[in-house]
Amino acid sequence: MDFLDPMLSGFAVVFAPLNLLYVLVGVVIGMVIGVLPGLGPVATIALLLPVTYEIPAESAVILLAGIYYGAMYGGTITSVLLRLPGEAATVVTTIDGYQMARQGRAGSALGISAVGSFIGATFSIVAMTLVAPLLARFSLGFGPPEYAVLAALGIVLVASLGTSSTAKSLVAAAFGLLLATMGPDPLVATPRFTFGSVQLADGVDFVALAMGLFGLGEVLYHLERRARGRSRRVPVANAWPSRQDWRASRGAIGRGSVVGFLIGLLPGGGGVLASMAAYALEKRRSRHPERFGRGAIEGVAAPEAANNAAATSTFVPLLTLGIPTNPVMALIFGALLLQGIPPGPRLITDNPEVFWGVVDSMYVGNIFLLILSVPLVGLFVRLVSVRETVLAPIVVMIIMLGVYTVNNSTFDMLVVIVFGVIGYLMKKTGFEPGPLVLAFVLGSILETAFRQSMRIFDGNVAGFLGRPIAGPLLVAGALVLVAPALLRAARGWVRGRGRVKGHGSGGRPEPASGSHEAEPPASAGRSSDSPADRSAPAAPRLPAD
Amino acid sequence: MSSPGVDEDVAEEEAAARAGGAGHLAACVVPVLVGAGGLAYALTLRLGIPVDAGPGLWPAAVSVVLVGAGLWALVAGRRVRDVERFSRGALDIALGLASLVAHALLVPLVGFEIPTLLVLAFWLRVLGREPWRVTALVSLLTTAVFSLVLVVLLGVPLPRLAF
Repeated sequence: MDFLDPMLSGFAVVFAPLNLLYVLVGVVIGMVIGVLPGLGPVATIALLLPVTYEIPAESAVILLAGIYYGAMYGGTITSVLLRLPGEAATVVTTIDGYQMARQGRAGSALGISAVGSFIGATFSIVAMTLVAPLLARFSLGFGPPEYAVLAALGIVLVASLGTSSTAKSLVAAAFGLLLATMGPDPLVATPRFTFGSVQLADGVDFVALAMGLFGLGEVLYHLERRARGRSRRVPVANAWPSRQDWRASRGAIGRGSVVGFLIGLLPGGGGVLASMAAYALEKRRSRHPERFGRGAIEGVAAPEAANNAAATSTFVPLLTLGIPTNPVMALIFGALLLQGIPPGPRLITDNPEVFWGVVDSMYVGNIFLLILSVPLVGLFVRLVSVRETVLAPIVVMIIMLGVYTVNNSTFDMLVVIVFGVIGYLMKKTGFEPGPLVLAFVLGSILETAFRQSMRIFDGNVAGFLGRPIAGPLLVAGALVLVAPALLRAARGWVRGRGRVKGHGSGGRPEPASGSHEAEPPASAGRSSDSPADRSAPAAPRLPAD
Repeated sequence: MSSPGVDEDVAEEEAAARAGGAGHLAACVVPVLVGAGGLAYALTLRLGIPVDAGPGLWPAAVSVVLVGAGLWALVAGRRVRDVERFSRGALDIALGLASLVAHALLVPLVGFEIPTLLVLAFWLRVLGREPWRVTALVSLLTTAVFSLVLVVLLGVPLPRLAF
């Protein structure tokens, strides 16, 4: 319990008036961009990177963290009322949330979402408070081989889990690694890929890359496919769950919180995967799975608790190991580096005000969000009517002038345009920019750690397997990668045997038990012919969050 | 910012058309070429051996991975229609990009205020087809807010008008 004192002093950091303001500003911005479809937390955090350069490190991460978990709350509102998920992690909520709204139960859906989100996030913060110091202490003994394996696994798992095409995500990740090699060699300082340019002598600027890929790329992509139409009227003004709603969904909230916390710890994990897993779990264990897709309140409560729990626990690997596990964490990693604070196991001892300030700010931020999201639903919903044609130019100018402010360089403005074009082309061609940015951030860590490891192992790559931590990590990572293929093969084999038996006995073969319930919700909606399921959203193309 | 609050039928009309096999081929060949270029450049640097790697070894390894992943995407994704066709809206993108390049080049010459105002007006009126009143109001207000926040409050040394 020797972490109690620094943890309590973290509250002193949070309750400093300016930091309280940053928490509030962060969660409000998060809710707003969560409500606005398309402009997600990744793009917004990328846009705000230059601002964080001007403020203390703890305030910067408090602000960015607030945007991330605030977006989870905001995204729910439009998912339930308009079937427009403002944030990828709330796509699953549209399935039952929108059905509830159509049945006149929008208030219940929004209320239980807010309460579930609060409970999921708070559970995750408490668990993080207990787990993170232990993990940080454990990882103090990590050497270059462990960091090389962690960084490599982080990149590979993010590219293979939670993205639509593993091959294309690996392409993006490899491109990110190649971009990270621009500038001086980390060990011998020989310039690489600078083409004689003074501006490229230190490599590509992270802020310009992130703002271009996520910010400008997003704007350009939507500029081409801009839709015009009239705004809808939204009838709900406020929301609070009834006692009956609470009784029906408290179990789902509890399970969603645990699932979300665990998935958030994994590379590639985050709100998107957590919400899908929690939904699938609830549907699978329900005695009436047919209710799902037709307005089951558990189908709203579980994913909402899960995505908020995951949004919190995803900070654990970043703050304790220095390994970002998704693009948002990669941006926050970059923000800390901009401040000269390398995230990692020493953060908790060397910069306790940053570590505990951020963790404790989440307690306060979630209380703010609960207060904001229940009575002010009607106000946030009005934001949906802000026209994209008005918002896009403002965002573009934030990008152009924002990137200038980091190094006072017009060259960075041109770099951001180049990466904006690359981001746009990637979206058009099915490549996700998330793995690229993650690999770019982890590239120099990976290269340095790998080359140092090679010196330790005398050039023998098999040396990784002999390390007590790196070896099992490698094996576990490999298992995670091949497990889905093995499971598919095993299921196919079981079904094949079932068919053979069915033909042999002359009876009709039974489907594999539980296979339907285990399907992800979106595909369940696709395959069903029920009216409720037909109105469920199409299978989401999931960005890594 | 995908179509906030629009009717479903309109949004569905806007769904991007999928490109054919040529689009997929182009999308996957580009990373292969970039990887090959990276490899060619890395080979001009000292490679060394794993225990004493030169500056070129890591970029060479990464380039090989990029080429391999690109080829995998080319083969594995040939049945996946996730490449979108370029529509007439791409012209708007070209115009928008040209305005941003002009903005980047003009800011150090004439200060940030006029280029910012003009680019905002261009995006609002020409690309967004907003009414003149909205164009004038939003571009003037946004430029004023940037001046206030960046120059007055944060003290960022942005290039300013001479007067």
